[in-house]
Amino acid sequence: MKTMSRREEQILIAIWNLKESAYLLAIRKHLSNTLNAQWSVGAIHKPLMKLEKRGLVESFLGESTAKRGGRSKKIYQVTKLGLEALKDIKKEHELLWSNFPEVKKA
Amino acid sequence: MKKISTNPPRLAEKILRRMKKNSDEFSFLGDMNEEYSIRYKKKGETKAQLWYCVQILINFPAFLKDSIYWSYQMLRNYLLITLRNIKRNKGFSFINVFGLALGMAACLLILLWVKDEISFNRFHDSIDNIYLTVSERVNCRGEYFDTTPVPLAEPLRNNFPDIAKVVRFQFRNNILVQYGEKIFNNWKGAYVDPEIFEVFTFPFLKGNADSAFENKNTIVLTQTSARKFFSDEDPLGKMIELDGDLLEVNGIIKDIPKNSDIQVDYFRPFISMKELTEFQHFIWNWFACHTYVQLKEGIDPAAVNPKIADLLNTNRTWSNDPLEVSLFPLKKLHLHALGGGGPIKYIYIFTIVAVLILFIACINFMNLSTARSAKRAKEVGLRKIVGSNRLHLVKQFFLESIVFSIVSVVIALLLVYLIMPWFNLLSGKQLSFNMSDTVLILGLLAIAILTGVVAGIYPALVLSSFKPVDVLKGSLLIHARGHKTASMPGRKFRQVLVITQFVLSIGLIICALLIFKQLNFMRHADMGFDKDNLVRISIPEKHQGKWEALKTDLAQSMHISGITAVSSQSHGGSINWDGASGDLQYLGTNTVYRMVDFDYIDTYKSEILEGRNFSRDFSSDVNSAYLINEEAVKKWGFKDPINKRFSLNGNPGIVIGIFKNQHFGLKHEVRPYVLYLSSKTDWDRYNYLTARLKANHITEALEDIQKTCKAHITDIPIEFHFLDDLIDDLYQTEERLSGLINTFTLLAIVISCLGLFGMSSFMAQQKTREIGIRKVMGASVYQIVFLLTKEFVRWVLIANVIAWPAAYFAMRSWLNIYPYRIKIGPDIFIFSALAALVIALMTVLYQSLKAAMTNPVNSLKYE
Repeated sequence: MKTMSRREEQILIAIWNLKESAYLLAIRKHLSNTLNAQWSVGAIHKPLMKLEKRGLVESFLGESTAKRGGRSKKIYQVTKLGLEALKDIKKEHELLWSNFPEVKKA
Repeated sequence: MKKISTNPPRLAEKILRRMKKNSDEFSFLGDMNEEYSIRYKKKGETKAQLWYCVQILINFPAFLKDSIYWSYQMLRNYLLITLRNIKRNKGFSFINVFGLALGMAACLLILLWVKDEISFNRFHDSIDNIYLTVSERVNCRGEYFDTTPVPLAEPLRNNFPDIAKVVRFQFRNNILVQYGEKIFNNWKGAYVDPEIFEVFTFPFLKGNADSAFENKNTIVLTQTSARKFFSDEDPLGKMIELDGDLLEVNGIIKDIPKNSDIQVDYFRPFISMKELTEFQHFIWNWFACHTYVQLKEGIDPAAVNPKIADLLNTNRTWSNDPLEVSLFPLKKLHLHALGGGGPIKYIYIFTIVAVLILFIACINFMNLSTARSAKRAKEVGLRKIVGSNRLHLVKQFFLESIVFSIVSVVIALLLVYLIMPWFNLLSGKQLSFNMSDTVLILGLLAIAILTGVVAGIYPALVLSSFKPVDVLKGSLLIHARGHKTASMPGRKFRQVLVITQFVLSIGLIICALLIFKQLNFMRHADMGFDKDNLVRISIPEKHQGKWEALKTDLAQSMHISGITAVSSQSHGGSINWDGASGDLQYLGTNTVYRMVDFDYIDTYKSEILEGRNFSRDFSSDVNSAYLINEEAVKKWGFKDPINKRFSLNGNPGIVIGIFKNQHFGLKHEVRPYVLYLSSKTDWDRYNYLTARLKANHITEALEDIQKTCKAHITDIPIEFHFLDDLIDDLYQTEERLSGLINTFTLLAIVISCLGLFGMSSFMAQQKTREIGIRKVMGASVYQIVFLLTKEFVRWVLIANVIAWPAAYFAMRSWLNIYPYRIKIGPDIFIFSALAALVIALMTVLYQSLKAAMTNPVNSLKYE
């Protein structure tokens, strides 16, 4: 299995967290709130496309608002494959980090 | 509060949309829109807009990469498909490419010819300010002189502030030159004023303009003429003998370009002309030289004209035949006749023909492409379904036709290269194809692309308009007879194209035939004398006295049936007769005079209509007998002229007879003509002997002439011409025109036939099943051939109806320039129609027969 970039990993987990409302800007907002980092729209868009291509997320069109110029949102959802990947990553992380003091405490 | 729009600027959004062509483009734009409105609220409009624009810029490199990549991919695909199509339809492709190439080759040749014609004389640096002094007779409008009296130059030079320089030319032909052992007798040269090298661009290779004519006995040679004598030696300072004068070579000029109207082998100083003193007493009436003037920058020649006319008329005091002078630009000299018109019309005609031929070739292309469109329809449908838009398809088909036209250009170049020597022979030019000529290369490229676009425009628009649903459902059926399947495009259009093609071909056939007929008429019409086997021998000036001895000796030859001595024809003299009325001055100058001898009428086999011929039995004939032609009687209103008194230039005499009009070429109307036996003007001399050779003894007779002349005139090679050749030379323009038109007519027909052939094979193919079924039902081969060809026949007939009046009016105006012309009868039109029909049928028949003879089993199992 291809490894995922850190960014992709972050986006994927963000989508999982956001559930039904995961579209581009929401993901961006979520990430900037939790990680306190400002990313451009493109910085989210590109990895999103890659994830979709790889089949880790799937998308459908959601509602539209006037704010969006009448265009519908593209809502992303983590697929089964994506969920597997997330679990794998988590497992890897825990294994790798298991001896690190702070993690143990938590 | 006013509701503020929070949408990003429309233009910016459009650009972004253009650049972002992914599947999620729509929602992405929505995202951008939302982000924009957030920023708008937080940071204000300007910043939000700025942010949006930055987003566009950031996207740009990726967009560029994408679009280049995809255009390359699509281009590759288009080319691939084009090549596959060529391979799959070898016949069609061949017809297309070959037809286009032929058209282009023809077009190219014509354009080269046109380019050469309009480049005439343009190599002179000061061309814009050089004018030839020409005059028109006020009493006889339309009669122009391009020569002027010799002394006109002096006052023009001194008293006209508008005129910068004046150069006189007196051209001489058949000049005898000699250096050591080498002799040439057919040089052309001119007496010129020394200013020539300042006004005209004849650059010196050796010597220089200032000292070239420093004394009378000098000469300037062209490079080629110098090389004939002095292959490797330095020619400067060498003495050559020319026309009996010993001259020092004082300069060598570069060879005169071929596109110059002034073509000579040498120049020598004007003041060295012997005749200047000899003819001093009538020098203002001796229109001996071409006077070119160079006007100062910005001077309007129209302002100078009347002043020159005044000068000319006041000096011709004795004459009441006033002249009107105009300065004729050198730039126009080659293509415009002095009185308007002139060869420029051939330039227009041929340019139009060139464009038409190319157009015919393009029509073929359009025709075949649209005919084949049904085959390509599925491809178009599929392309549309996988995402091509119309623009892509238009691009594809244009590309395809441009590929075709570029291949055609290459073949056309090859053709032109092969045809060139023959074309030069035909057109009397020395054209060459210089591949390093940038104008030419650019022109070729322009032709290629233009042809590609013109030829491709219709297929591109039609094919790209197919609706994928129709195509793939198969409802785009080939038009079957009786059905109106609206979706099959271009049927009417194709008909129009084929008809246009035939209109052009038939029109050209008619023109070619009529031109040929007129030429033939002029060659074989009754000239008033028998021009066959007449040889004109020129007697060199310094041996003038020997004419009689020569004549007597030649008359002895058993291969010569008759011989007569004649002078050159002269114009302009005063006439009078008993009971004369009308403007004698006008009549006199409009008459041709010639001194002949007793044997003239017999040798020429002319006819005496009334009265009698010159006769040795009447001793008074030598001095006082005149023969006049029918035209003189008619024009002068000379009633019962026989035995009436008549005088020429004050020499009284009697009209003894009227002879039948003699035509020396039919391009001009016959003029009143007077014959007499002894000198009546200053320049009457027997310059020529005209001998009639016995029909079957031509070679022997010519040998006799050579031998006899050599016995009498030892130092100069003798020159003689057949009279009919000389007359034929007058028709050179017509002959060339006829040759060129014939060629291009042939080309147009070939190209049309190629197109027709393609069309017919296509139609036969389309109707394979119909034919099969008809045959099964009992149709005969004849019926099927009829079915397949009748449509073409109809097209050709319609084309005739259009071509006839067009050709008729065009040719009527062309024929109008000839005083003696053929009648445009219906025969030629009917013949052209039949010819076109036969040609069309022959072309179509092959395919039709093939289709009609196939076993229906084969065509029906085709499904």
